[in-house]
Amino acid sequence: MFQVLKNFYHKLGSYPWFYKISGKVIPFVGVLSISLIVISSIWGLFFSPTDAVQGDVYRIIYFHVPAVSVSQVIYYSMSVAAAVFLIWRMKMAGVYIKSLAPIGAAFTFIGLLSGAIWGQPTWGTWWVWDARLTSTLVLFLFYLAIIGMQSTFASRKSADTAVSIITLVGVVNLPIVKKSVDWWNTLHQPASITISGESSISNEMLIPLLLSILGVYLFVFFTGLLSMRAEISTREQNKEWFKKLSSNN
Amino acid sequence: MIYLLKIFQKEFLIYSRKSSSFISPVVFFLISISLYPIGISNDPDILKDLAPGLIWITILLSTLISFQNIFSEDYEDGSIEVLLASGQNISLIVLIKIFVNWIFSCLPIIILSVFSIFLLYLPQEGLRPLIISLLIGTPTICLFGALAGALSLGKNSITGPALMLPLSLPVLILGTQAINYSLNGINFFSNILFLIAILIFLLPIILFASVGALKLHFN
Amino acid sequence: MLKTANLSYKFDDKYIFSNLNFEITDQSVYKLVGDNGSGKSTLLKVLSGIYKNYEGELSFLDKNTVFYSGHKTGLKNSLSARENLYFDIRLPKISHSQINSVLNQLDLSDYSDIQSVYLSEGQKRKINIASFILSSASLYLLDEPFNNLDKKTSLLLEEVFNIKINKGSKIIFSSHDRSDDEFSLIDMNLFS
Repeated sequence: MFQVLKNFYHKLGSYPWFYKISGKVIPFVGVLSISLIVISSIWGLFFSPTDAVQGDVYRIIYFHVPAVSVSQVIYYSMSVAAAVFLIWRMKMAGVYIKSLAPIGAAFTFIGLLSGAIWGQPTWGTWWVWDARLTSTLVLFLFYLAIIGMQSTFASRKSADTAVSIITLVGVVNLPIVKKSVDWWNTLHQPASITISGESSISNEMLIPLLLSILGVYLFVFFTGLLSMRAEISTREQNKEWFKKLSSNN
Repeated sequence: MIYLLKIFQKEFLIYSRKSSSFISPVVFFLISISLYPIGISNDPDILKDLAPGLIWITILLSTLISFQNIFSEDYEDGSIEVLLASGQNISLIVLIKIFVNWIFSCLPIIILSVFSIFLLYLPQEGLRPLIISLLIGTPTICLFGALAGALSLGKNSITGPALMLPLSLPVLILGTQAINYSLNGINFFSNILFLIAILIFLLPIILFASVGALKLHFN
Repeated sequence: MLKTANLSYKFDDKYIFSNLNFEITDQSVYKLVGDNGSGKSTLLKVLSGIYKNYEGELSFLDKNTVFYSGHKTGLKNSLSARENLYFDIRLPKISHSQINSVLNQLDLSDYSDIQSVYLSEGQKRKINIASFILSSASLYLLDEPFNNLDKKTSLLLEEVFNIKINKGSKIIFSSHDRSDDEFSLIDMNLFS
């Protein structure tokens, strides 16, 4: 079992292997993810029942929840990659962080935006400074810092190292920010707002929600692969294997 | 020891020759402090409530302007290369640099913040926690500034501020809260202890990270 | 006292230089020559310890105090020549009288109290040479020290080279000028 994992790890670290396999996977994942998103959107927007409390406006959940959840998952996966990069110096981890950061930033932004649009009619305000929103905003800032950091180092390796450090700093900092804002809030404004109806979600609402979450995760997988391939092809454009590959096509 | 004193002397001299290094944070602070009453309200009751946060935020923003000073000149004129080639442990030297940067970019503002009693109608009992929290909290902010500055050397990118802001949030919250506590008659001692703990805990970590980030530019 | 075996330096995936094999044993001045981009400056930075991620072996047979002077002058614009020398990290035990005599020797006395930002490139180079003269290191690594120097100062620098050598120090300096042959050569082109 360990041997299999070890083999897989070594293969994953190899650019040519990754490039070959990802090329085969991409069309399949692309079609699947986009059709899932289309199906769940249509289902969620037109066929799932209206919420008793919130009315039709709750339907933005089919965009908001997947975006917020994937934006966090991307960050956690990036911090795992950062640790891998710093400990084992696996170059692919650097490629992963660089390629996924813009996608993560985009979904964090969608999450913030859809949350604000959802919040307006339900809570009567676009924005509250509670722990969840503040930490999502901070997450967005960390994504921006990671993207900005890419260009500050001349050497690719240095940039990857620095970015890995920031990613890990962020993963430590995020819960601290969340806790301190939470603490600050409970002392200042006792009534914090909770989303109503979330716990009592019915099955007819839940299934398209799960589908949309699955769709978005697959979509991130799809775009992540595309973006990693693009990154690999810029880093390896002068390498033998890449030249051979591109001359064959 | 004498050697470290000499480095301190050198840094001090360099900062004191560049008058902008301490005048611009001061001017920035004075401009902001006079803008708040005009932009928000000149009602003493409103300003009194906002004063702790306004002062803290202003200091935070002014360090955002000055954090690049810590290493950028050394990077451009080649001093860092000479430093690295000297084979000495540069952590202490970096610490001295951060300390001198704090003396010039934060200390004058902390002294000036006394005037917030008149300008922002901060009640007198808020003055002690204000000064104490600033004296203990701003070195931590300068440490973050050093890390951000070391990471974004040579480029004027969004990275530094985007990194500094989230890192500084806990310090900002604890600092303003200490003042608010004392104004409401609550003991603010625990907040100060927290700030001290953060400083002591983060000092070696951030220092180590900043030195590492500096070295990454020579890799 | 200094030996390299297959010394290589890589910037990302590109080798700046590779498989350098040379040895520095006798008391002499070594001139590092090579085409533009052959990695002279990089080699000096590797030897001085600024760049640590080299491949191959680099061994110093005895304990060295290294003096490095690079392309960039390392001078503080807001400090005068005198102050720059006094606070030079490579000269921890310098006295004001030593500084004065070197400034006289290099005809810098008239400019010694002006902030360096107002000095010319050549004058800044001269301050670097002053540091070099004042230092008592055992290994000197100088990147293009003859650049921007007038004839007189160049001759003085060569003189100082001899003094340092006679005191038992080693000097490696880079140059793009191959003509002068009184120095031992390390040719980067030979290794590529």
